[in-house]
Amino acid sequence: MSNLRLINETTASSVASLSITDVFSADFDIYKITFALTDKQSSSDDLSIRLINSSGSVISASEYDRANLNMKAGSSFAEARSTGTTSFFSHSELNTSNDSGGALSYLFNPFNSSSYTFHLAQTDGYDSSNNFQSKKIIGVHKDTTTITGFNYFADSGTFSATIRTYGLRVDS
Amino acid sequence: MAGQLVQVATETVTSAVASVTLTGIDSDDVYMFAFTNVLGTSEPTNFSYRLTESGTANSTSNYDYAFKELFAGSSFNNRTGTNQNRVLMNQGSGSTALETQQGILYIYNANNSSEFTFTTFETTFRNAYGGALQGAQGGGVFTVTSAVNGIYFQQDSGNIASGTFTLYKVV
Repeated sequence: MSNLRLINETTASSVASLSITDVFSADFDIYKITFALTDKQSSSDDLSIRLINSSGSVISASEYDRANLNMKAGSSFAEARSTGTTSFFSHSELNTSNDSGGALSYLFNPFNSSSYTFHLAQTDGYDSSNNFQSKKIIGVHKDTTTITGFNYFADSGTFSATIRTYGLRVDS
Repeated sequence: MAGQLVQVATETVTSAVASVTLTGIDSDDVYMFAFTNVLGTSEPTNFSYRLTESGTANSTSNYDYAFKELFAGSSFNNRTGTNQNRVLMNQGSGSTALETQQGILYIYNANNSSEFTFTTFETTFRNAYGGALQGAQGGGVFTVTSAVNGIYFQQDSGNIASGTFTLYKVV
């Protein structure tokens, strides 16, 4: 059996927010999440990620630090960073005509109540000026609360995507 | 069966060790290394790696690397090195609780004694400077045409206090 275990697959169509719940457990320390975006409505808009605690609540408190390197095909690269903000980065300034894209995220230690949850990601898509852009992303949620799921949301408009959550198994 | 991630080796550190070595690379597949909750015993220092040949870490000046350092609180930085004796991956890593390091590293052509061994890596951690979020995105190359069978990790000063390290084969 593969040490990369598919835990959940969810396909959503034209939603503003999508919660994937009860996917993190003591079975895994590292999770891999793939996000295939097929549609985004409302241009110049961001897609972001929040964590869900064991009570099922989406955490929107100012507890996230994040940074990304935004690499654009038609213009200069850009840096973005925030401390004490309310979500992790995913996609930004999405285009509604060229509105597909992809993302690969890793979440480290979400279920561990002695550790913060760390985020690594790489994403791509087209921005509102129709420039291809790719991002390298880091993040940390600075609270040791147990995390059991995550929420993708759009700042405005809706999106369609298929999201797969895998656990990286360690057999000791 | 193709299309799997197969665990090759793992080590969980619960009391301080000078280094962690994982071996078992014995095919021409791509290998993936994952680490999480890594904490040092002193700070600030660098978390670095070398590659092993027949289980022994090669510390000769045959590593080149280049990566981008990302910071949540300050401007990003370029890090490069040529003819170094290790790849300095996480510079400024810490020993204070919750300043842990996490990352994913891929290894290419390791088993091929006619090729250099290449690595790509992405990491995220809270550094020794007040626990600021930092990460590394880039890669390295071991410029020796030999068969590499594993990887060796160390904190450049002090020891590794904790962490889980796992080597997988991508088949």
